[in-house]
Amino acid sequence: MIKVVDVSHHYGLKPVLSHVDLDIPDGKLIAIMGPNGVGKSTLLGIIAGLISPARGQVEINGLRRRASEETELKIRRQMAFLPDHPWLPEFLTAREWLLAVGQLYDIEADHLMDHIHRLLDLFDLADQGDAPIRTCSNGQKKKIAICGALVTEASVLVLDEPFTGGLDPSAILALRRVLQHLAERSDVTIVMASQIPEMVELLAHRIAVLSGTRVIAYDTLDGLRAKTGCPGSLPEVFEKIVHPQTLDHIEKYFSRPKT
Amino acid sequence: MVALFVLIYGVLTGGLWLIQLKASFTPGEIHIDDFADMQEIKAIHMVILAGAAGAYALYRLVRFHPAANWAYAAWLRLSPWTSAKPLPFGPVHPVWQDAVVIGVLTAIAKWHAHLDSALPIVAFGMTYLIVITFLVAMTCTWPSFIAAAFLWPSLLLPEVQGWPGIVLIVILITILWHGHRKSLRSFPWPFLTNTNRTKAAASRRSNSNLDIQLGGTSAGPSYLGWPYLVLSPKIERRPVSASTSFFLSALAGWWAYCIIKRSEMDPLPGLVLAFAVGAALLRLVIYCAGASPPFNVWGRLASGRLLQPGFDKVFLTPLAVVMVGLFGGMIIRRSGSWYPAAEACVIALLSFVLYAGRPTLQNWILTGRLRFRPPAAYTNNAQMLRRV
Repeated sequence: MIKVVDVSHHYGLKPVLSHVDLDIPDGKLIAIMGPNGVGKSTLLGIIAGLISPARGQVEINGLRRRASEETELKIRRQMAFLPDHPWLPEFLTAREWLLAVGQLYDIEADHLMDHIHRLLDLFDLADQGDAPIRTCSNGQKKKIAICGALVTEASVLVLDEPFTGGLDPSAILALRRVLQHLAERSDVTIVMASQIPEMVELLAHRIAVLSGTRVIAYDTLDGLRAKTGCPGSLPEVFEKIVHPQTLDHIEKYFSRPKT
Repeated sequence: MVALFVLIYGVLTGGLWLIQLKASFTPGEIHIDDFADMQEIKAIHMVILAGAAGAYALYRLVRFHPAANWAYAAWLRLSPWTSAKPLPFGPVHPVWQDAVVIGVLTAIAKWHAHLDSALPIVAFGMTYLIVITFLVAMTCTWPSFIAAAFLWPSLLLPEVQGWPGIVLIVILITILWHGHRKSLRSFPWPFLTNTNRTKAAASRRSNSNLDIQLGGTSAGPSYLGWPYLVLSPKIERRPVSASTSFFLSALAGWWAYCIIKRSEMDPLPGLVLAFAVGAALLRLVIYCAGASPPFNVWGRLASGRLLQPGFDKVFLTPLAVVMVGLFGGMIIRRSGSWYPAAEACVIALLSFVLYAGRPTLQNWILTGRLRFRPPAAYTNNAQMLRRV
C-alpha cells in the first residue's frame, strides 16, 4: 500500500502541490491525470523518492520514505521508477543494461536472462538488443527504459508518462497488454501518470485528478461519472472535473443559431 | 624491456665513445676521463640505471602478482589453486634470476658508470616495496597496510639514518611479507568479485548460476544512468567507520610531521587553512553533485523556513573543517619550535573531521531531505548518456 500523507511541495515561490492525500491499495493500478504543469511528475517523483516533499510524507508498504537507511533501502528494493525522461548509458547494449538493472534487484540470473530475452522480443528490440544504446532511436530508447522498469519485477511500479516518447503502435499495444496483465495481479501496485485517456480508461482501477495543486477527485471511473453526473467517456468526465465550463462552451459554440 | 635499456644506455655510451674518438684527433683540448666523470653524465647514468632497476621491480610484480594482473587473477580464480600451493606463473618474492639482473645493473653502475654500486639494489628494493604496499592495500590486508603506511614516512625522519634506518626497513619488509602471505590466503579478493551483489543475494544463488559481468567488470549504479544512479537499491559508497577514520587521520598527521621535519619547511598556517577550505569544498561538491535542496532560496523565504535541517546538515562538516583550519592556523602560529607537531595535529584533526563527520555519504543519499537531479556530467557528456 502506498500512502501519500498531507504532501505539499514548492520549488520556489509557487506552490506545486498542496495537502495531497492519496491511499493506493495493494494490487491496484492508479492513474494520475491533470493538465500540463499541474504537478503530476512532482507527485510521482515524491512517491518514487527523487524529491523530498517540503511537507508531508510518503509510506510504501508501511515504511516511511527516507526515515532511515534500512527502510529506504527496503523501499527501493520493492520499487522501480520510470521517469518521463530517463538517461541511458550509451556505451552499453540494451541487453547489458537490462542485465545490470536486474542485478541491482537481485533477480536470479537464469530467470533474468530469459525475461530480458522475452522483453526484447516483446518490444521488437531483438535485433537492436546487442547494439550500443547510442545507435538506437528515441523510441527504441524509450522502449529499453520501459523494459528496465519491467525487468526489475518490483512490486511497486511508478511510471511517468509510459506511453509517450515516440513509442510505435505495436509498442503501445505491448505495453498496454503488459500493464493489463500486471494490473490483474494482486501483488503488483502501479502508479502511472498519463495524458492518454483511452489507456487510463482501459487500465486504471482508480483515477486521481490533479488540478490547481490539489487532488480534486480520486475514484473509479464509474465513481467519477456518478460524482460529475456525466455518463460519457473519460475525456468528458475529466473535462467536467477540471474545466467544468469547457463542455458548456463547446455545446454553446455548436448550438449557436445560424444567422 | 632489456632492449629498451640496452638502446638507451647504448646510445649514451656510443655518444660518449664518439666524443672520445673525436677527442683523440684533437689531443690536449678534451680529456675524456674528466668528461665521463662529469656530474651531468653521471646523473643521466644514475637515472637510467635506477629507472631500469625500478622498471624491473615493477615488471616482476605486474607479471607475477595476481592482484596486479587481473587476467591472471581471473584465471586463477577458476583454477584449483590455493595459497598453500606455489603461484603457477612463479613466485612474487625475489629469486636468484632477479639477483642476476640486478647484479648486471650493479656491475654496470660500479665499473662502467662509476656510481655507487648500491644504486640499482636500492631502486629495485624501494620500487618493489612501494608497489607491494599498494598491492597489500588493494587486497584489503588492512593491518599490514596501515603498519607499513606508518613506517614508510618514518624513513624520512632525520633521526632515522644509518642503523636505525636499516632496522626500520627490515621491519617494513617483514610486515609487507606477512601482509603479502595473508593477502594470498584471502584470495579471491573483494575487487575481483561483483561488489554490487550482497552476501545474502550471493548465498541465494546456486553455483550453476552465471555470474553476469559487463565487459569483465561489474556495472554499479553509477553506470546505469538516470534514475538508477540515485534510486538504486544498492549503495556503492560504504561509510568510513570511526576506527578507520582515526587510523587514516593519524596517518595523514604522521606523514605531514615526517615531511615537515625532513624538509625543515617554515610553519604554513595559511596553507593549512587553504587545505581546509579546499577539502570542505570538495566534500560539498561530492555530496551535492546531483542533489538540490527540495526548494530554493525564494522558497525558503516564502515559506519562512529559512533552515531546512534535513538538507542543511550537509554544510555542518565542511563548516567544522574550515573552523579547524582557521583555529588550527592560529595555534600553529603560536606553537614556536613545536610547529611541526602542531601542524601535524591540525592536519590529523582536519582529516578526522572530514572522514568521521556526519552525515555519511550513504546516509545522505538515503535519508537526506533533497531533490535528486541528473548530474551535470550527464547533460555535458552526451556521448555517455542521452536523454530519451
